[in-house]
Amino acid sequence: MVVKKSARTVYRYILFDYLSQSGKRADELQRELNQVMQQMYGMVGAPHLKLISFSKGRGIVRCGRSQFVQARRAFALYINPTYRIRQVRSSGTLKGLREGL
Amino acid sequence: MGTSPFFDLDVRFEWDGYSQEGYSKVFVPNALEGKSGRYDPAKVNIALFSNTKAVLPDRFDMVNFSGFGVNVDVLSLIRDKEKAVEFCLADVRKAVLSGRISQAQFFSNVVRSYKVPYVFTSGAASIYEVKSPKEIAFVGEMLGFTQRQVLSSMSMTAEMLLSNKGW
Repeated sequence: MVVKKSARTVYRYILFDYLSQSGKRADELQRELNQVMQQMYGMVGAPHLKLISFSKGRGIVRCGRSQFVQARRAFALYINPTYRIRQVRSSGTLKGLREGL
Repeated sequence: MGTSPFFDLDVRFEWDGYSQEGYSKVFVPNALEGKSGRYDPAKVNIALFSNTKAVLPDRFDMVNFSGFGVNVDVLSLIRDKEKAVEFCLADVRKAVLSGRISQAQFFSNVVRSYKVPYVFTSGAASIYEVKSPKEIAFVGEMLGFTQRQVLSSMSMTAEMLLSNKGW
């Protein structure tokens, strides 16, 4: 089935810094990020994040455009005693995000 | 707004690398509890006002309504004395996680309608809790403020409070 272009999900990409003394595996971080969203907004309304890339203390997550503001606020409110996630910038395309670095 | 100096008036640890996050200066405050709290002229003095400690000291620089309980008389007093209300990120986080965000939104509506000066702060207790001004602005949007209002509270209102102290 072909999905009309206007009906496709539009995504936003958020570039973040992972600041910590110790490292973390990408799958662990992906799980934790989704837990953070569920803690903040509940299982039904939580934005689903997908970790696109994560290496050398810097990563990119993807979320739906309609849930972007929620995700950004959740990142801003989230604290953890062992690491910090600092939002650097966001973009509608991966190319735009990487070009701006 | 990009060139304005930003101040975080409530950081609860000694933090040297604040300029990397975009702050011009950060302050470790002195918390005043109840009527007998001692005012420290060398620090920013934050009076804690809640349902259990519903008394303000004689001198203070900012007031923290940690439970977001509305008291119109106190808000008017703060406005008349040219002091400010503190919106601490740690309190907003507590309100969100305990399901009291609507109370915080109502409180911020009252603050805006009474035209009380307000300052957003991070309330960070460790290096992993610090937030940049932009991140605090994202949270301020939850309470009905615009990003510009939040950033201006951290630059112009904070500057006004500091200049009132003669700094």
